[in-house]
Amino acid sequence: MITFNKVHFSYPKKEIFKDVNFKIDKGEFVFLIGESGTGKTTLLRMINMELVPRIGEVTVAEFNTNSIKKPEIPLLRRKIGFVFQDFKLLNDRNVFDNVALPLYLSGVKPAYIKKKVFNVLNEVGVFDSYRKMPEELSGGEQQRVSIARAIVNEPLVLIADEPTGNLDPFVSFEIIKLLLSINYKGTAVLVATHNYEIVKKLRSKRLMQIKDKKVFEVVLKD
Amino acid sequence: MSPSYYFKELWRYIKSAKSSVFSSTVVIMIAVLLLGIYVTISINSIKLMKLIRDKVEIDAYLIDNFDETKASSLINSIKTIGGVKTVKYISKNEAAKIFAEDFGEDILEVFDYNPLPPSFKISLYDEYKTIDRIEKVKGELLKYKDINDISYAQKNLEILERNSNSLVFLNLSLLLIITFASIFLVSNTIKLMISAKKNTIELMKLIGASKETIRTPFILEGFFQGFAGSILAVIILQLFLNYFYTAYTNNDFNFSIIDTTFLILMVVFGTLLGTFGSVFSIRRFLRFY
Repeated sequence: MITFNKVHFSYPKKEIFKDVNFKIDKGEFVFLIGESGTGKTTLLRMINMELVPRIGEVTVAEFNTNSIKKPEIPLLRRKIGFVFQDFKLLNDRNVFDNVALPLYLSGVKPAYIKKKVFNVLNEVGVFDSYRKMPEELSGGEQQRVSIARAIVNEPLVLIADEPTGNLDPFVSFEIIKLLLSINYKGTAVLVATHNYEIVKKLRSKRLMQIKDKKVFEVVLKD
Repeated sequence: MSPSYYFKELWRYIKSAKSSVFSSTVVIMIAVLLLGIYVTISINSIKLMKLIRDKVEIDAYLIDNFDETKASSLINSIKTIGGVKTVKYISKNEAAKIFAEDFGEDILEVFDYNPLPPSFKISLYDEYKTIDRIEKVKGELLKYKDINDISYAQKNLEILERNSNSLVFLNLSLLLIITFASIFLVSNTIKLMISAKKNTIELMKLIGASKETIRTPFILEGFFQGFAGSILAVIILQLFLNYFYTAYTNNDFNFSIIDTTFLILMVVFGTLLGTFGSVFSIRRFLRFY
C-alpha cells in the first residue's frame, strides 16, 4: 500500500535519504523511530506527497510520485489520516466541525456527516465534548479529537507524527491504545515517535529506524 | 463543494478575525474615498479654470468725447474682426451705474464729475481666449482712432496658460500615485489578514482540500470587504460633497458633485480591489501544495 523504492531525498544543503526501500501493507502497525533531524517528519511528508524524492519513487495506494498530477494530490490526502504532535485543531470552530471538516471537503452529504462524526467521536471517547471549542479541552482530549478527524474519512493509513510528544505518560499510553484499536479495525497505522518506553512495551509491533540516511527494520530483544 | 459550505467558512473567518476584517475594510474605504476626493477636486478645478477663461472679456475704452451716434457702426465694424462674438456699448452713464453697483458709491459724489470713459465690452469665442489671439484682436482694435485703451484679464490668463499643462501632469501623477498606493496598501493589509490564517490553510491542504476549496472563502471575504468598504466611502463622500455643494456654490461657481455613474464605478473599483487583493494574496500560500 505504501512503497518507498530506491528513494533519495535532499534539502538544498543536506542529504536526508539515500536509497531507502520499504513497504507497509494494509492493516499493519508500524513504529518509526530515529534521532532528531534524521528525517522522520520528512519521510511522513513524502507519503503525503508534500515532498517528492530526487531519485526513486514513493507509491501510496494507486498514486505514485512520478506520475501524480497536482489536482490528484487532494484525492491522495483524503486517503491518509494525519495526526500531529501539536494537534492542529482549528480554533474558529467547535469539536464537531473540526472532525466534520474532511467529510465536507470530500463532498459527503450533511445527513451522513452528522451520523459519522458522532460515531467517530464516540469511538475516540470525546462524544460529550462535541460542542466545545478546542481551547476548552485538555491536551489528551485535543489529541483524541485530532485522531477522530484523521479517521472520520476511513483512510487507508493513519499517520501520526509524534502523537504523544505533548502529553504526559499516562495520556500518551491511552492515545497509543486508541491507535491500536483503530489498527485492530483494519486501518494501517504508522507512528513516528521518540517515546521509546511505548515502543518497548509494544515490541511485537513492527519497528523501523532511520539511521545513516537509510531505513532499517529493527527487532527488539526481550 | 456546496455554496453553503463557502458561506459558512466565510462567516467563520469573519467571526474569528473581526479586528483584521474591520481594518482591511477601513483601508479599502480610505483608498476608495481618496480616489473619490481626488476626482471631485479634479473635476472642480478644471471647471474653475474654465470659468476663469469664460469670464475673459476685452474692455475697449473710448475717447472721452466719443460721438455716441457712431457707436452702432463701430460695433458692426468690430464684429468683423476674427474671434469677436459680441460687442456691447457702455456709455459714460452706464459706466457710472456699474461703478455704483460695484463700489456702492456715486462717482459724481467722489469726483464731482464722471471720469469714466465710454467703452465696448467685447466677448470672444472660446478658442480665441488665449493671450496670443487676444493680443491680435487688441492690435486690430487699437487701429480705430476712437479707441483709446484696451484691457483684459491678462494676468489671470497668463497664470492659467502657464499652469494648465502642469495641472494636467499633476492630475495624472496624483491619479497614478493614489491608484498604486491603494493597490499596495490594500493588498498588504489583505496579505496580513490571510497570513493570520496560515495554519488553517496548511491544515486544509493536509486533509485533502483542493486549491479551489481553500481559496474561495478568502476571495468571497475580499469581495465583501471591498464592497462594504467602498459603500462606506461613497456614503462619506456624499456627505462631504453635500456640505461643499451648499458651502461653495454661488452665482459665479456651481460646485460639481460627482454623478451616480462615477459613484457606481467607485464601488466597482473598491470591490475589485478587495477581490483581487485576496486572489493575489492567497496565491502565495497555495504555491506549494
